[in-house]
Amino acid sequence: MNVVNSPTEEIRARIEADSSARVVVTLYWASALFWLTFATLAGLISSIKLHSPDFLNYEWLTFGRIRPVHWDTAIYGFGGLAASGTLLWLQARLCQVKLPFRGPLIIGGILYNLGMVLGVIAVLAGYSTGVETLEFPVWAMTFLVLPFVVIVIANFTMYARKKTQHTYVSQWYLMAVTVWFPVLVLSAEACINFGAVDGVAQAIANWWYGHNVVGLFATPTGIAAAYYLIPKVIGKPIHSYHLSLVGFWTNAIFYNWAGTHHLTGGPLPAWTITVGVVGSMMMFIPVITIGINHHMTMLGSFHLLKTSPTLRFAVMGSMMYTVASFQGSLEALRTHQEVTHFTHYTIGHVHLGMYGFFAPLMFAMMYYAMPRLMRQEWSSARLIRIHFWCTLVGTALYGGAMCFAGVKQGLMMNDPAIPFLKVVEFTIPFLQLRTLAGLILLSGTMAFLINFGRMMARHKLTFADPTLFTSERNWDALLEEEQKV
Amino acid sequence: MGRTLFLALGIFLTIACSVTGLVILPNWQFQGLKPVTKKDGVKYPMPYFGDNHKGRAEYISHGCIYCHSQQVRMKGYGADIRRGWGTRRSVPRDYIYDYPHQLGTMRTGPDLANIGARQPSRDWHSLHLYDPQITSPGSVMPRFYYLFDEVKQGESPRAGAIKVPDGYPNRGSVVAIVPNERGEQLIAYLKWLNQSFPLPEAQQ
Amino acid sequence: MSDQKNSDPIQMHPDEDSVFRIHTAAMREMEEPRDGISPTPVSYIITCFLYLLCGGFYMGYYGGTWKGDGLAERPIGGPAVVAPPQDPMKLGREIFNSCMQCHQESGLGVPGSYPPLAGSEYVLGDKRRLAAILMNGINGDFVVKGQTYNSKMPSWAMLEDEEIAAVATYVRNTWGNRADTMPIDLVKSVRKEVDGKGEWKSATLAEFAATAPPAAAVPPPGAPKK
Repeated sequence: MNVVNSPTEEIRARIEADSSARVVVTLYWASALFWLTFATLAGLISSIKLHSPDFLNYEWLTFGRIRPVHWDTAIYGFGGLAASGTLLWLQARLCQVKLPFRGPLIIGGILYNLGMVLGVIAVLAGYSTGVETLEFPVWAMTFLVLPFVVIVIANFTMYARKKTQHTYVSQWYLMAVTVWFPVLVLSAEACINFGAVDGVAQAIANWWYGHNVVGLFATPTGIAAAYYLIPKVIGKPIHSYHLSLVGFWTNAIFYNWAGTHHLTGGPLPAWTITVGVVGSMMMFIPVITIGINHHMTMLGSFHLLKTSPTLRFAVMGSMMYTVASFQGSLEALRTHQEVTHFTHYTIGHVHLGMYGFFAPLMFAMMYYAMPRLMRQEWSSARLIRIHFWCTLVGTALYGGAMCFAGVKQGLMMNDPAIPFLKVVEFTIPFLQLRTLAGLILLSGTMAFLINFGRMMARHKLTFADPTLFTSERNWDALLEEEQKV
Repeated sequence: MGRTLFLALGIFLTIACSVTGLVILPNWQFQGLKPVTKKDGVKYPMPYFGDNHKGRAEYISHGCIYCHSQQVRMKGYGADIRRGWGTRRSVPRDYIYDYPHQLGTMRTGPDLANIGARQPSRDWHSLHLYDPQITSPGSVMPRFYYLFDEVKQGESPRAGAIKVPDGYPNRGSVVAIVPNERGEQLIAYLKWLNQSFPLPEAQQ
Repeated sequence: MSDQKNSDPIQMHPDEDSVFRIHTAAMREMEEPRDGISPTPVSYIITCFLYLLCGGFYMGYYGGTWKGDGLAERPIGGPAVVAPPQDPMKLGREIFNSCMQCHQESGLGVPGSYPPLAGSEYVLGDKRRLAAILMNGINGDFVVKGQTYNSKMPSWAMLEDEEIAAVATYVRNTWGNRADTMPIDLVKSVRKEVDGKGEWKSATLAEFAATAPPAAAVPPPGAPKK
């Protein structure tokens, strides 16, 4: 094995990896951002509909159709593409190899987007399968699965060709994603949409899948990004290799089993629920372990949060991972579920996880990698600042409003003396707050889109120094200056 | 390479175990579930047929599941039974003909496991689907007006038309509504939803 | 845009200055992350193991029968607890959740579609007739408070006698209605009387109300009053 150890060699390998990944990863991330905007808009429409039911009340946009479109575009469109881009770039970098199969990967990316468009149209037109998170009909889903085959092969090829001797912890997680995701999708499709299991076993398969698509796809990619970015930006080694090991394997073993807590109180044998509760509660071990590893690495470097956009998003993500996972584990308990199951609390939790933990880590990844891929810096520090604060404030407001409303809603529903319509009436102000939170999140996404768009459009405009929060940059002045030159 | 193989195999094993334990095993445990015969010779549960079968497709197509669950929790766990959403808890046997399942995980609206028993009236369902504000003022459910034909003032009356109440503020010139084909199917499905037969295993 | 920062000792392609310029980001960055070797405290490992044991215990304790029909997480044992009789107004309020869909929380119904209960002669009048309506439901034209309603009310016979009595008492004593309580015994006897009679029409109900109840059904004179 050709071992790289001189700094010059490492930089050469980096530049090679970046150059080779450029088109593919940019394509994946640009489409991810498109779907993020789409998902946020769809979410906003759904949110408005829940307090003003006559808003855009057409058959194609009825709540029961736009709401699954929101989730599917968020998880498959944004999540799937952002995570695939991250996976390819990170693996190329960490293996110090060129990204292989670039042509098929580009075709795959296009097919994936096509599948998303078909899926969205199918659900809006009423051809949803009716299975939560698997709403896309099988023919649309095929377009999402085929590109992933290429991604899996590319990942293993890079791993086989790797020039480093050591396997860094991020690579374990990326490896895990590529093994888990195909198994997950294929088993769930076989069980539910091809009818391999019957009756309530479908519900178990549904939530085994629904929980795992977050837990075994989004989460490991997010953790891999955090494990890479935090030590990378602050220039310190990750706290402890042993904790990485414990965290990875306990996460791999327990997360799989947690899904059935979504069916607590449902028509299922007690043991299936109990297993889900234990799986969720045992998640405290990996969450605390990974938390110690991330936060202890950060210890002493918090002043860098003032300057580095990447680090700020990455730390927000890793902290929210701890918070959202604690919340998720406790939520699985039967006593907790008696109140919060069937309420907006769950929706609040999902957003804390997806928009508080996963999305910021993907943003951090893009903020870090895009200047390297495109060979130019971000045009505006102010837009990054807007993006960050909108993400943080929007998520906090969303999570806070929904979780509080959810608990109260659950308590009210469990009191039969309160008429159901009174419960609905109680939630409305919080649903309006959620719309506000959605608007804030959308503004943040827009700021990011502008920055991203400028990078794509003004390819020649380069800066000598990185864009930090402390950088003062005036886009228009620079444009003029550039034109003079 | 040995370590890589170990890593990949270990990862595969984790998911293989969970799909076996959480999906295949319970499915195997449910294989013995058969319908029971009631005193009057009718089987419970019965497969969906005709209009209620097509209505189920409408239910799925309009995404009712995102606001309505179809499962009653046991006595003493939540207030499902005390709210009148059912007379007993739901059990696996209730769902043996459900494909795909529509258990749901959200109650922005009430549970519908027994809606056919709680509200067997075609008129009520029509008015409620046409505009929920008629029967449930303050509801956040959308109007499913496209499942109905409207009978305007001065038009000849139609068979099966349902009178729109006089006090309804958005009435305009609509005097009555008639569910169209899809509307009738959806209502047939809702009226079919009924878990009131006391299955023995529901006593746990 | 000067490239002075990049005149590092690293020599990629010495002739080509632009290479430095376009790769500034890749060159300034820190080295690839490494693993640290901070030791894991033994107490942490022990705590994890103890926690795992707790998980195992929970699984054993709440696993039910581990069979497909083991729905209860704990086997139900011991003598059945007999629920103490409930305040009919409180229980009635709960049962009324099911009635609200048509008669509304306000008891005013939906004008033109569903009759009001507040001030309704069917609610405040003959208790036997009220119990009969709850038991079998109605279908067809009914005149309530001078208004004609054509609607269908389902049968509520699946409720317990106590529950039917409670909801009747509730509607007779809410929204300004004042009337005596519905005795459970009366509900019990009406259940037997109306069995098989089907949904009431205006006429059949009037006929039923006019016929004298069987002697046993008359509540004793000292029936509790509210």
